[in-house]
Amino acid sequence: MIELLSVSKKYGDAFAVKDISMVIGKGELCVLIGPSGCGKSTTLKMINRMIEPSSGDILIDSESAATFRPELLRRRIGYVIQSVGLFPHMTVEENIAVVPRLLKWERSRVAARIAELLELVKLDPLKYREKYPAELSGGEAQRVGVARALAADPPILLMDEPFGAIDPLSRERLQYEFVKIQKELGKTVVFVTHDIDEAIRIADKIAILRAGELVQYDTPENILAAPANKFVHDFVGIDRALKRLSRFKVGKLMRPTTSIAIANRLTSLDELRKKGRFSWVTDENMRLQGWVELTKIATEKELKEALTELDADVVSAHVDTSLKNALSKMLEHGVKTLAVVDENTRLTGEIRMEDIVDFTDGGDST
Amino acid sequence: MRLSRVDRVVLAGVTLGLFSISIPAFVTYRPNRLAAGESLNLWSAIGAWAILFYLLWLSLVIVVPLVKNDTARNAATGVLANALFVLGFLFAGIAATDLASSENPFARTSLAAGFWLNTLAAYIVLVFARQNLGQDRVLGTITTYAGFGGAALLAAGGFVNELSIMQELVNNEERFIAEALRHLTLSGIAVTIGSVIGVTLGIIAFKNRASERPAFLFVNFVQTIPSLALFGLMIAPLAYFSDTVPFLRQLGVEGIGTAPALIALTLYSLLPITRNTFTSLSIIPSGVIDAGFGMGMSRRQLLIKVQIPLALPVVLTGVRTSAVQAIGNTTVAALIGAGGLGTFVLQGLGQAAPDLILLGAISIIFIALAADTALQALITALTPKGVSGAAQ
Amino acid sequence: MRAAPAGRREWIKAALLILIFAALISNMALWEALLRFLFPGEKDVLYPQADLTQLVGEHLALVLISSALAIIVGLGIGIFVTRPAGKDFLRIANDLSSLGQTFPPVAVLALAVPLLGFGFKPTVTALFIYSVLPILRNTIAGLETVPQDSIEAAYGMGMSKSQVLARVELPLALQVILAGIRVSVVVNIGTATIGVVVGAGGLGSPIISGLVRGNPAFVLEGALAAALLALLADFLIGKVEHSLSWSR
Repeated sequence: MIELLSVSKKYGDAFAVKDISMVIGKGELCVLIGPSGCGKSTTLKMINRMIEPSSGDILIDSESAATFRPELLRRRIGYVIQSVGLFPHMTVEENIAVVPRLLKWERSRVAARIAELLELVKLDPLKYREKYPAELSGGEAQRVGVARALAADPPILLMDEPFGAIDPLSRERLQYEFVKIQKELGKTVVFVTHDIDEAIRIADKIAILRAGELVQYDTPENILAAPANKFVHDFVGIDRALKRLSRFKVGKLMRPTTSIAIANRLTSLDELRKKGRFSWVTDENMRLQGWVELTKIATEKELKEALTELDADVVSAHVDTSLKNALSKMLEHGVKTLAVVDENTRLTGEIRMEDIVDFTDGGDST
Repeated sequence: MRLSRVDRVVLAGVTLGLFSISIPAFVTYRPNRLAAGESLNLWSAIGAWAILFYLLWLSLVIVVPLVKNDTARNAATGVLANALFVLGFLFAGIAATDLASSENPFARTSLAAGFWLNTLAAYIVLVFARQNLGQDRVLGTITTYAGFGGAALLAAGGFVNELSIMQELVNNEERFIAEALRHLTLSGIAVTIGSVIGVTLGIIAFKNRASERPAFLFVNFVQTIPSLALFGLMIAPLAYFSDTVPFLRQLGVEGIGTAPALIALTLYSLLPITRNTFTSLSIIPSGVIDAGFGMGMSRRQLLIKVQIPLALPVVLTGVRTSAVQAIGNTTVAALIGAGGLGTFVLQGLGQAAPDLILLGAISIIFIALAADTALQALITALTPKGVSGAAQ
Repeated sequence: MRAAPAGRREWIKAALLILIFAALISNMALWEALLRFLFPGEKDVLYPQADLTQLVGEHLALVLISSALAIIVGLGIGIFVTRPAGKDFLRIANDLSSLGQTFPPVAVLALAVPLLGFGFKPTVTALFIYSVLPILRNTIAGLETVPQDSIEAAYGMGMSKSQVLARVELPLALQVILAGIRVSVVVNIGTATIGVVVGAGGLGSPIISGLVRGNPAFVLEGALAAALLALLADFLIGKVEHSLSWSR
């Protein structure tokens, strides 16, 4: 757990960071975000004393960070920067081994740990161990950077725009994998970025800074639902409602539904007509085939003709698709309801645009 | 800059300066060449005038920091530094004049460690002031050269004539000028020929990849050999040729003397020029050449308008390095009978006349510095605007 | 830090060259034969005062002592002026060493005499002062090119100041520093050759003696040996330089 108590940093007469107090819980991923010059990097660097606070205190697990020798403090905190800073004269292996060696681990333990970490960041140890940083791509280098930071198994990770220099496609993948690792290992992470989408995607809590001051500190959902002031409102973007939708999954709002099997006998068609105008159509294994307008059919033969086929892989959603992506698909295909299918395209429910709209409209703010 | 903060470099300079005027010998007086010298520190040499020096040095740390305006403060620092150097020279001359007397024409007063340290201390402070005046070209140039100007004026005005080194100069005036010219001619011709060969080699090495390695292997090889050794290695074959080919002997080519020196000096000047020519061609982006052709330039136009202007500063930097080196190496040429200012150094060493050595050495250093500065100015003038500094 | 893949083989080659050189130097009969062949007219072909082994020994003493000191001092000052404590002196250190390198080495050697006298010690002193300059310049240049983010990462990981210097900065600056050491040593060997005129002995002795006596055989003896020594030193240090290449 990290506590900042009225932490400030002054350069001459100007405050880079002014009186920030916040608590970052154990195992939480807290993102510091704000416009350029807001003090987010400065705040981050005060935690591991790369920059010393001018006033205030920082407690790490209830002990003041100031009481330790800086080097010793930093060996228990992982630190990842945007340019990674891999040592060009050391192999991937040697880079990762730096802190364990500083802590005087035995060779065998170090070697095992390196293999473990490389696998964790999805780099084949046999292939990457002996490579030099100059031979790595941007994404690979950043993965090694993360592995290096985790080497001595520190409880806390500090990250300063680590994925900023990576191309957008690789970046999303790195973010996703990183969050998985973080949750798995239970690390407390303080993460600086200027990319609001990144923050919303990965954060447990977001701290919005402006001109050195903390403006709002809350979960992404709450910030998006209720920005504290005009600045935050503008900062999170005019599409905050949509952004908020990206935090929730289809599973939250989906409704159960029924379907007609394509080979069914249509004895109960009247029954069905009472339910509504449309129905999903599936095959004998509950696999989605399409939908049909019930008013247009009377017999089984007409069912096949009246069927509007759907590509079940494309025009559908999964339980953990974000509401934002589901809405996007609806708009793309011009429908107001999407079928929810499992990985075998078997129908499991449906999600309706009206439900999403209701939800967005200040409904559930969990 | 705050009132209380004195720059540490200036502080270091002032400390050295104060030391140099207090403890070590400022001048050395010798009744004759063979007698041991009597060391005189500044007080002993010029008496109460020494207070002037103390005042000037101390004002650098006490008075000057009070000046708020940055340019004025740095200019003042520069002025003081120059003054301390020139005054050091002047008063050494005055001390020498005082010590000289008609009864003892053999007596000599030489510049001693104290004077040199004072000069070094003044130089340190001067460089500091010069760097801080960076933007202002005029002030900066004045600051740099005022000291030299002042010293030259003193020498011309006869104020320092009694100093041993000046006496050596006066005694050998004709020969000095002759040897100086010889020195310059020798190095000049060597560098000129070396430039022609070097540029050619560099271009060949660039165009013909196969020749790159052998070309550089050769020039590196030559450069590594100690200068005296190279001169020595030239002697035997030249002596042989001059014996067997009478025509060469008529030309004045002998085993020792100008011929081996010139050949060796030319060979030495090759590496910096070849390497820089090669580099200058390599750094022109191929895109630039493509664009030129694409715009319809002929080969000749491309050469004149694009390649040469871009390559010239780098090549000239190589020439500058070679020139400075050549001036230094020509000193050694005196050992094999080629003349030049090295003869004074040698003579001084042989006769145990330190001021003769100084005369030779300082003149050579001065010429080397002058050449370096002049060529640097040429390079800067010829560097196209918009191109950042030439490769070292 | 890894040596290049063919590391072992290179070192054997180097050791072999040193052995060959040593063998050549000690075999005076070989030199006699060669010089007699080239200069049939000369009565004496070998410098009588000392044989090559002794001369090389004197020369090496001059060079090794002055260069060793120069490395220590050059590295020391270079490290100092690139630390926060010494930052103020960085520009002047650069400036003075550039200026000093404009001085012809011979002049520096000659200037030692009025100040310090003749002989071994003054020569070593002059050689030392002159040798510091390229090393200092390259130490500064090398340390300044260490990537900033590597240094930041190093501190961030918990290295102390001395650890950052020893494990990150110096290894990354080493190639440039070694280049400076190589230049310094080779020039030093060259300047030491002239050391004989200030009373320091060395391989210049036969050369000067030959020049004075008009005996080209002496000259060649000294010149050839000096040239070989310089080339060997250049080659060996160059090898060390190249073995440190960790970037492709």
